[in-house]
Amino acid sequence: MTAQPTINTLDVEELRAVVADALELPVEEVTDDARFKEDLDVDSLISLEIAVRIEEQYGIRIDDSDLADLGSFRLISELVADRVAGRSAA
Amino acid sequence: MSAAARAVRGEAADGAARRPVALVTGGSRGIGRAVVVRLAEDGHDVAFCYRSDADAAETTAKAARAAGARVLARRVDVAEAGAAREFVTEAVRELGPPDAVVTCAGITRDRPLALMTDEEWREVIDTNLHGTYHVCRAAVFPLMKRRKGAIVTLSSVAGVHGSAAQTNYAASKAGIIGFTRSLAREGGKYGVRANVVAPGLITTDMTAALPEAVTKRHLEQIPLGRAGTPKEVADLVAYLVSDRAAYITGQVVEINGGLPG
Repeated sequence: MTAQPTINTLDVEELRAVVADALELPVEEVTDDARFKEDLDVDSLISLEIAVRIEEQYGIRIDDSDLADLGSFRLISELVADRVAGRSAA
Repeated sequence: MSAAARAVRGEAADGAARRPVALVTGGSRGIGRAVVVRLAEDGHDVAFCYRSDADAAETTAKAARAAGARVLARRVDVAEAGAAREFVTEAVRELGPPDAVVTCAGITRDRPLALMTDEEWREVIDTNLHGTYHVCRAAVFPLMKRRKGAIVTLSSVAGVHGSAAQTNYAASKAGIIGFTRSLAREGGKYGVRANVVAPGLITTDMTAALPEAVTKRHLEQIPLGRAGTPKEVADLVAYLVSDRAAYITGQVVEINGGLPG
């Protein structure tokens, strides 16, 4: 039985550092469930920046339809884990 | 950048140079055709769309291919969001992510406001303003992801200064200016420039439909004493999408023979 790809297959702290850098925030503030807009007071344009950096870092494709799903670190890490697994399986 | 990241962006794994890609709307005739051909001559592969004239589109495509470009020509009504998005998606798939987007698609339905129908108002806003939005909306994220690109939207002196019997057209073209200036602010961080070209009287099918007396009156106001040509507008567009204009964004460039405001 093949294990389902999960957030644990990623280097989560590396991803957190990428996101924190994009948000221009200390990495400690980027907790799993802090909402960027509501809790961290981050501009909505930042989801573009996060998407661009994630693509560059992981070589995965983020579509504009994904942007609304980049509102917290947990959502991002789930999306990246899913895409990285999809790329590996392709 | 990793090879995988390059692949996501449609670039060669070894980072080899590729021909830049341009998307052009309203490319079958007039200014749009001149832009397609000029960008092809400058080394772009070009995807263009047109609404109605397939024969004219084929003439444009042939000229662009003769200049060495790969060409994708599609019949699309840019007023329809889904069709516009599909065009951009297909262009990216076939030619690669765009380096330049030029929105030329435009129509007129001239009439004094007191006589204008709701249909005439909506048709012009739908094609000119909503069409510009639809195509830029679909293309902007691929541009931002590459951290480089240029958008040129076609407005008009009517959008800058106003024009009698063209409230619908002028409103759509003024909207394009606000849209593009805002887009320039959004895109700057990602290396995406956005500028407006606002032509005056240019010899196209659109202006050929003007009554002779109106054309004569316009010409009398133009210091250079003549109408411009589509090629002259295309030359300006080509400059604005090129790296020679790398520090120009958020601008409205009038090309009007000196027509006073």
